[in-house]
Amino acid sequence: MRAPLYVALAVVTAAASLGAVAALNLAMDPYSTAVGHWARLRSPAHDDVADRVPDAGTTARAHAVARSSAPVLLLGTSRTQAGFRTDPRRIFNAGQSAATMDDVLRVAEAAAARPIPPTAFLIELPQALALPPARRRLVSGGWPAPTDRLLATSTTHVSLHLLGHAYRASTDPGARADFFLDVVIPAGPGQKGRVAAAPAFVPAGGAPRDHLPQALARLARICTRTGATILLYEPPLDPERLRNPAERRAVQTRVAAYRLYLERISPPGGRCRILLRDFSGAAGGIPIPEAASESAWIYRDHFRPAVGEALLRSAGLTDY
Amino acid sequence: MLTYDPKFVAFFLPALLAAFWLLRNRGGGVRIAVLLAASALFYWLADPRHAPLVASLVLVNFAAGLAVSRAKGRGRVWTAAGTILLNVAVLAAYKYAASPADLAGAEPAAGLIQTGLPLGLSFFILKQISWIADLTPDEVQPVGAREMPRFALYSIFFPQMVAGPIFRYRDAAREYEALETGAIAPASLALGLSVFAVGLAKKLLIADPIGGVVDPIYAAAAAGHALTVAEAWAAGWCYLLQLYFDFSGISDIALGIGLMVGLRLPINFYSPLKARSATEYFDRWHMSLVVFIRTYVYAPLFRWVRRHVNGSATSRAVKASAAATLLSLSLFGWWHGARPTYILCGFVGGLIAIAYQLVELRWPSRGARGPTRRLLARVTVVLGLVLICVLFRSGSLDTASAVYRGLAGLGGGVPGANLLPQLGAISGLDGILHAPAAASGAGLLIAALATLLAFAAPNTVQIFDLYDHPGAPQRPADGAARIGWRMDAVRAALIGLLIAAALMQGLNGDLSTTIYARF
Repeated sequence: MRAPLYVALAVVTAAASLGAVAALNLAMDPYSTAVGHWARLRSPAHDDVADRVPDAGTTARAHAVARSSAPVLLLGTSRTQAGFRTDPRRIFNAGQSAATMDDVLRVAEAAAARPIPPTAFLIELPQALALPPARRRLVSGGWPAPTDRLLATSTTHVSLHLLGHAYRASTDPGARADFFLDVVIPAGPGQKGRVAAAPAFVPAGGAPRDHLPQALARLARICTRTGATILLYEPPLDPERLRNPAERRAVQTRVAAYRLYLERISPPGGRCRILLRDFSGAAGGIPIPEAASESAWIYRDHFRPAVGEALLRSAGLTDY
Repeated sequence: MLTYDPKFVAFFLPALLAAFWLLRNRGGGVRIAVLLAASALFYWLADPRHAPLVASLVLVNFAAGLAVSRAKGRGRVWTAAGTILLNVAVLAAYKYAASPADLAGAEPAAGLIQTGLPLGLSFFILKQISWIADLTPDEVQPVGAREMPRFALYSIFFPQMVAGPIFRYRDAAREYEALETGAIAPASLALGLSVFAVGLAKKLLIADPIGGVVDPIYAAAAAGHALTVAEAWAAGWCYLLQLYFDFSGISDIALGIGLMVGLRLPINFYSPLKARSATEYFDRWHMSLVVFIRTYVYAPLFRWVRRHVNGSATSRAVKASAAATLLSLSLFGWWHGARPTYILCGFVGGLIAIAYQLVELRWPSRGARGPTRRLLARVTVVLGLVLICVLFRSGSLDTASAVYRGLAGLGGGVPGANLLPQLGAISGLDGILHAPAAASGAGLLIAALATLLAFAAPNTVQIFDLYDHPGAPQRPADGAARIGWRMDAVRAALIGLLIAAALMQGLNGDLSTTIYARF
């Protein structure tokens, strides 16, 4: 074989392989839900922000929720993601790691735009409301371009997984629809306390407070449009954190801030209702007895599905 | 941008090759000019802050080289010594004055241990020293101003700026002359592309995933966790593999780029983990640096010590060899940087090399030995390397001590990091998506594969028959490797697939830096 032909063949093979992979990824995982997660295996700094990147998890979930027909939608952070094992045809778990209130509202709005919207939204109170603009720009600036994302090995991993899932779904009608929301959080002593704090985020109940009324006003519009019941809830706290007065105070402050602003917004009309429940276990709330034991927790802040099931019972959602 | 960056592979390199191959018949000067412009642009894109310093050093060293080659007698020696000292002072200033954190034993951040260091400064300075030293002997003809473009390209040829290989001027002069005057066959482009692809795969598909195993374990040790025996050995062994595949991958990338433009760069690695003694190991690992040290440090020291010690001829040679070895390898440690672990690493390496010399003197191997002794010799070398690499990788003596305790099963009372079970558990998709630990089971699998490759597979020189490159070992009598390279459709497709897979891995977000990039 002549050298120019050899070089041309190698280059064409490389280009064709990359093209095929990009086409697969575009078809199976257009939102690149996994992008960056491989990289985060190497960079703790990146790890801190990987889940909060706009248009990675949120858009994908909005997309999935809009295609779903489940009458109940669970929204929230990784606690929701890990803490509820539900049949996605009835109760769709769209929890997202480190979701902000802004992320939650975007997914809720996508569900509200469905021809038949959900009749109930169960929304965990996010501890963060939104990314400050500067932080958002910073995160977006350091993020690979869409062309890069469609070619990354991590995206391809997900695409292949989804391809397998699509095959399973074609042979088994009962296969899960919310495939990419499955989560396994490894338990272990080394893991405790691994959740990164997010001091650069706007905290709920903290300054600037104008984020909260805006968020609740958006929620009220969703409620009015869909006529659904929206249950905002503070999730259970693990026993260790519950013993800490500062932690309890933080929860109570957050719940009080939500309650205060919920009372201020004009009451939505029709059948729609916005309710607030505190399942944290702090004084004045609704305790979930299943959450009181250490074994009910697999990770800091992350309760096991048994607790989630009890919470759903307590919220009156067992009929779905 | 470094030479394994997808942007480099997709845009910079094709543009350079297109320009070079279109203009290659316009004369040697044009070839040099294209490569020089590309190297300047590369350096500017990679490290614009330090470009003026590097440009100034090129000019100063060239002027000094002119002066050295024209001076006579002692003036020649003094001018050369002054210029060499100036280069060493620049390197020392950046290595030591600019990195107090290293002296304090701070942990390295993803391999980038000296943030203020210009890209490839250590390699660049060694080439400048070689230029001056090779012009110093009286019999060397004076160089003229027309040598400037060639010298500038020798100094900053971009593939070598990242992490070598180090080119001695006396070898480089011949190769650059051939580049200017010789014909460049398209087969060289095909061969270079293939070597480049193998280097890219070594770096991005092997070394980087293995780093996902090494980094969290060392981070845990640095944070005060006690390591289990398995974790400590996994970290020790995987780091040796990571270092080898990272560094040799970058060297292969440089070799490949050189070949694509008709330039033969020195060989840097020749299956070092197959070595059966410390001496053999130094003939196979970072060969261009070892040649540099032997030529410019070891040999003069050896001669000087032998002249100044008493005893029989054999005794003086043994003493001179021991002193020169210890000092050379200690300098090797100092060259790496201002971390106590580097310095200790060089010193301990020197002691081990002397021990090997003495053993070889007392019990000469006399050629072939039995399979058991050969195996034992290999295991000894590899074990020694693992132990030395722990020092090399650790950011501080405390971290090194924690890993050594783990290796010996003396973890201590502090709760363990308990990382290894997680490394195995998170190899699936969920692990990739959600694993909070900075590691992956895939890294362990790749380490197992890399072990097989390092011990059983032929190396780049054997596969691509690069025995005509500077610094290459002699071609073995039994000919080329069984998996020899030739131009056919299957191999072309394999090379294309390797490039695609490496690019996809490189596009995963944060690109890791090469371990030697900021040296």
